[in-house]
Amino acid sequence: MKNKALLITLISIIAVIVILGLFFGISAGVAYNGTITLREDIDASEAEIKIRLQERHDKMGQLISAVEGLQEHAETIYAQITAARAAYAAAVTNEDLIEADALEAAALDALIVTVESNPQITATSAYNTYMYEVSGMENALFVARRDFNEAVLSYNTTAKKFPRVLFIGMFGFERELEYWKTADGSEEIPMINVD
Amino acid sequence: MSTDMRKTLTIVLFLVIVFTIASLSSCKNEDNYDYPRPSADFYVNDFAGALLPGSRQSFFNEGVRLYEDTKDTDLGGAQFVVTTMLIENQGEIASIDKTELYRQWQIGENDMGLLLLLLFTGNEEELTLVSTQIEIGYRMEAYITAAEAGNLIDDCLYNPEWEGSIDMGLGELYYELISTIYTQAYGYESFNYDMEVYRDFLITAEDSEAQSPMSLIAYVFSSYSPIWTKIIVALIIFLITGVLGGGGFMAIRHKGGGGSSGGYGVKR
Repeated sequence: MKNKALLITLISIIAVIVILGLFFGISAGVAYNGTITLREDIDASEAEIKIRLQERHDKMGQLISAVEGLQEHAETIYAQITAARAAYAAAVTNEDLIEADALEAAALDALIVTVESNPQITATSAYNTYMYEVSGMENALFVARRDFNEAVLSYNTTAKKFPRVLFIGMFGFERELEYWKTADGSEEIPMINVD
Repeated sequence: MSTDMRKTLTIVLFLVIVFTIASLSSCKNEDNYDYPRPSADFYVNDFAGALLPGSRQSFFNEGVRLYEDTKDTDLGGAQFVVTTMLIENQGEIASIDKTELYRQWQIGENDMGLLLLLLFTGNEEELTLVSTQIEIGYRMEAYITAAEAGNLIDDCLYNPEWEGSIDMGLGELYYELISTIYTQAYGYESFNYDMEVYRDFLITAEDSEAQSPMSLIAYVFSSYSPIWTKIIVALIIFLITGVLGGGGFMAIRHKGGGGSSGGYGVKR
């Protein structure tokens, strides 16, 4: 009788351990796969930003060539654009890219304002075409940054929640990721004024 | 069927209906702007009531034809959607996100889609076009650039030859864009259209019903609602029609192809 009670207790303990083990194992598996998915979303969004940045960088070069007399009449703007393009070309890390992104956005804004307010600077017929392209690129960049930040937000929020918080460190995932920060005004998309 | 079984079935059915309605009503847009669902025609959504019936019919027919012509190609079926919306004032333009609208409607298979969005202010008597925007699907970007789209808006929509007629300007813009899709993306040698024929059709086309966003039931059976809502509603319909002895049910004629976009396009 005593042995039977002992056996039942033993089986119950083993059953509880097995259930807990199963729960832990399944939770860990779900957490790992879920985190991988979130990380993939971030990587895809980051790749998208880099593609868009490269496209804008290329278009900016074409836009400058479509403006005649910029260097003679607005040397500071020209220097700003050159510095921004150089910063982008030299960027290695994400931090460098974020800085170069902000510099190029500011330079682009300054270029547009200068061309529109300075009658001595003339735009070639291709100017409007490049402006449409740059504006399209800026909008796409805005969306890419937003998608990236939304993916990071989703990751950071999930990483802090139970039970994911138990496994994040165990699997070697980052506990928190950095957002794609932008300088003030760099989120403004240039408006096209076509007469 | 016993009385107890009927009672149980009725309770289960009631709970399923309540759960479905509650779930659907909670499917609200998370963004600030509440975007409408597309109309059942999908390819043309004249929510502002700005277009003549002839324009609506032309764009719908061409949209269907484009998709049918391209759906079996390696690129996937292209979808070109025209939408007009009425807004309170120009300040509202900035709050409308064409990318979000494009993504919600899932335009184009394999991201081969194009959304032409026209925003109007005013009322039924007098509408003013205040913004023309084009959103280009991820894969479509390779074939239509923002510059091309922007220049086409300038050249067609504001073509002085049309003397301010939105329908004529939009018609030319539409045909130029669809021509670009056919020739640049799908390798057609040419795409011919005749603006005189289009003008005549605008005059002779029969009036058609004003368009509105899809009804809730239509939404449930479209590609925009979660799969589980479809299953639950299908189950309800199966049970009801099974009890009543059957009968046909409505279907959505056209829907999005699952495409997405990345904000590339034109705002003017």
